[in-house]
Amino acid sequence: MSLWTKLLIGLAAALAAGWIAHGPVGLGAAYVDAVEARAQAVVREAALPGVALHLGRNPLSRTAYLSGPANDFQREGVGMLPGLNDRVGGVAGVSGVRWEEKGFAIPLLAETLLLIAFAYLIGVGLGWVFFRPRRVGFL
Amino acid sequence: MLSLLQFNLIPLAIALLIGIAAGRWIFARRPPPAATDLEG
Repeated sequence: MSLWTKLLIGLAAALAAGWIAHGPVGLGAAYVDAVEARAQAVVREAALPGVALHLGRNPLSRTAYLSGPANDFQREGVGMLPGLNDRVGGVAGVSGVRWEEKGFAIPLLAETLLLIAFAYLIGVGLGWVFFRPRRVGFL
Repeated sequence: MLSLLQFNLIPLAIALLIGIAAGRWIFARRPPPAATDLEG
């Protein structure tokens, strides 16, 4: 079996483990719930009546979608006064803020699988460090 | 991004272990071929 086949079989196994954790186990939804709760707390703190926030759900994403009546000042802020966009965008875990549910948002699953692939490659590197054939010296 | 790492620590650890196992599978020294009886 070639090196690349082994590498891809291992990668597929690692990505499958990542997908199981994200989907069936529910880590992805739990993560979005946690980030959404923090972002909603920021919106409540801003005290803008009628403004609501949710994160991408279909598919799960870290993009925050705001809706409701808010003028440009309330959205963008001015000078040293941050608007709602900056406040929500500063919440750990939020990747972007939008007022319209349009355009492409990177799915959380893609980001998770990218991290998983990165961890897998680090593991392969460690495997090379620990298990590569070494020249045996007899002197 | 940091909290995404924290939430996925266990799957990341599993992926790391799978990677180490794959690295061993790929790079480990293969046993030498069985010695042939040259005298017989």
